[in-house]
Amino acid sequence: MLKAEVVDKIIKYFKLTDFEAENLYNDIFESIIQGVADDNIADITNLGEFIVKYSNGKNISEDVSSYKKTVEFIPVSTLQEDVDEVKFEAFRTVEPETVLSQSTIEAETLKKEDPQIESSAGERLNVEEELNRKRDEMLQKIIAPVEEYKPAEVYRPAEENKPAEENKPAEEYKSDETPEEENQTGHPFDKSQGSEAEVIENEEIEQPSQKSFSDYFTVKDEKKEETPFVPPPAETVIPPAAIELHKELTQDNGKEAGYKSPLETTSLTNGSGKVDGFEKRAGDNSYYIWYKDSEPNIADTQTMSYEYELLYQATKEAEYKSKLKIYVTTFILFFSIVLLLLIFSPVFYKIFFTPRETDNTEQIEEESGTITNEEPSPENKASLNTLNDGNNAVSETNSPHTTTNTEDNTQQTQQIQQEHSKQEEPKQVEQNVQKMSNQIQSQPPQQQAPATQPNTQSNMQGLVKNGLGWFDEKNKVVYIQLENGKFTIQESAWDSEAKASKRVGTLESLIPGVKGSIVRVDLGEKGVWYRVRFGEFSSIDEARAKAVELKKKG
Amino acid sequence: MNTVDLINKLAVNHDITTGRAEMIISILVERLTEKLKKDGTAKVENFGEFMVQQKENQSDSYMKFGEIFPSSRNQIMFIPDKKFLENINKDSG
Repeated sequence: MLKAEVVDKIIKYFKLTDFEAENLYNDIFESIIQGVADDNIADITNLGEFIVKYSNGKNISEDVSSYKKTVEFIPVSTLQEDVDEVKFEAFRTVEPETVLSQSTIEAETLKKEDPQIESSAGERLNVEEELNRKRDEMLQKIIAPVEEYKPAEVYRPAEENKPAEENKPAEEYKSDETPEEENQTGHPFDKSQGSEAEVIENEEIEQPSQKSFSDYFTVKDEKKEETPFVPPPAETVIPPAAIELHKELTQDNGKEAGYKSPLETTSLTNGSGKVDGFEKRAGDNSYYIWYKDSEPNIADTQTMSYEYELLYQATKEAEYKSKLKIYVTTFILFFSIVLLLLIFSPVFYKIFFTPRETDNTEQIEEESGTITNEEPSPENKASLNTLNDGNNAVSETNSPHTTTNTEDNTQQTQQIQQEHSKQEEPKQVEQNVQKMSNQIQSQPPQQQAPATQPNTQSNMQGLVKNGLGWFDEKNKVVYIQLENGKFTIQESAWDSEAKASKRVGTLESLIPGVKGSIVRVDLGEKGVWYRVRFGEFSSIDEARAKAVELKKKG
Repeated sequence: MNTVDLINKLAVNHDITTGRAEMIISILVERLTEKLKKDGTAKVENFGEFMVQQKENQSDSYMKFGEIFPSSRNQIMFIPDKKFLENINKDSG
């Protein structure tokens, strides 16, 4: 039964399997046994100590009585008190009636056995009965639980319910002297020294004329005598010091001084509301909780046993874990996003932040030396920009003269561009065309005349003069006149020297005997460009023939 | 050996936290004491049996009235199991 209960609770609270829970249960006791075997003692909190003791043959079965050692269990004080308390409570709920009956029987036996009492007057018997009755009251009030508490008058015989008894001061019942001794003292001073029998007898007779010892020396006010102080019944039984201590502990000075058992639960949790938090009741293992804001009454209190406390802790733990899980997950997610952004930032940069490329770009296949129209690249675009910059520089210097021929040159340029686009020629050449068109726009009419030489004017068909030289529309090259008067062919321009030198190598392989050269040009904002030129020709026709040969081979 | 050792041992053997081990032991002790108080006996397999035995009444001032005053103390007895005794008597032979 115990094992099943504990295993069920472990499964319920900790979400373990049956096998795991049973293993845990068994392992606890095996560990205790092992601990006792190793250390000769095992101290378990809230339970007790298991101590090895040499056997005396007691408390062990016969089949193991031969063992030298046995185990003694010493419970903790709380457990011992709890066990005692249960038995005590169960006992005292039944006891008051038996106490009363036994006390009356005792009184009768005393009456019969004691010859002095038997032979004495009826008043003496009354005194003994009264004493017994008072003792019964004391016992009853001590023993009886609160629910069964009734005024002492209920248990009294009918003839003993006299109003004068309530007026008895507490000191009268403190003495344990027997009635015989009291009766032997006949001096009036002895009466005033607190002998119980005399005082009770006097009160029962109700003779107001009789005076106590102190009355001979003090002047009494008759009005005060009429309404004497009536001590509460509890104080007649319990010492006043104990009651005051009880009041201090329970802080219920304003209440009526009725007797309450020290084990009474309500006296400990009196509902004053001054005690917050957990409070353990004497007769109960439950915990009662109330909060500062609420009025502490029975309806508001919550009974929270140890099991509920465990459940509450488990719930809190689960809640904390779930929150922690959420926080950790969120942090990991955020961190991973940031990490991914950092890792792929170059890709994003390329996708979103690179400038849009124009379609008019080119890629030169270095191996074959041919020029093809493929994906645009900024490198190849550079050659056109270089040439354009050069033309723009020229146009700026000659800007006053460009206005007159602008329209004509524009038409020419458009025509050239259309033609080249139809023929699907290399883009580098198209760029050169564009460069030439720009140059045409900026070309002054005065400059065109001196640039053309008389010996070459007959062969100038298809050539366009620009800032660099003469642009051959058909062969897509520029003929440049050198300082020595000879002509060279500018085939292309590159943004890096390596590319330019590679192109020179290609050209030299295509046309043997021709020497290529690279001219470095710094165009400021456009950067540094390398112009690929080859050959030195005495006339532009010769250069043109070479360009035609290059086109055929390339 | 004390409760802390027991908790640590349970936590290591069963791969659980010490907090859980402590709670499990608390549950076990609480159930055991409750059963002992309720039934007066609690038997644990392979370990032993706990019993509540009532001592005889002791005389005091109230005894002269012949009443049975509940001044007795209930004693908790533990009868170890055979397996328990075998374990602790291993070394001594």
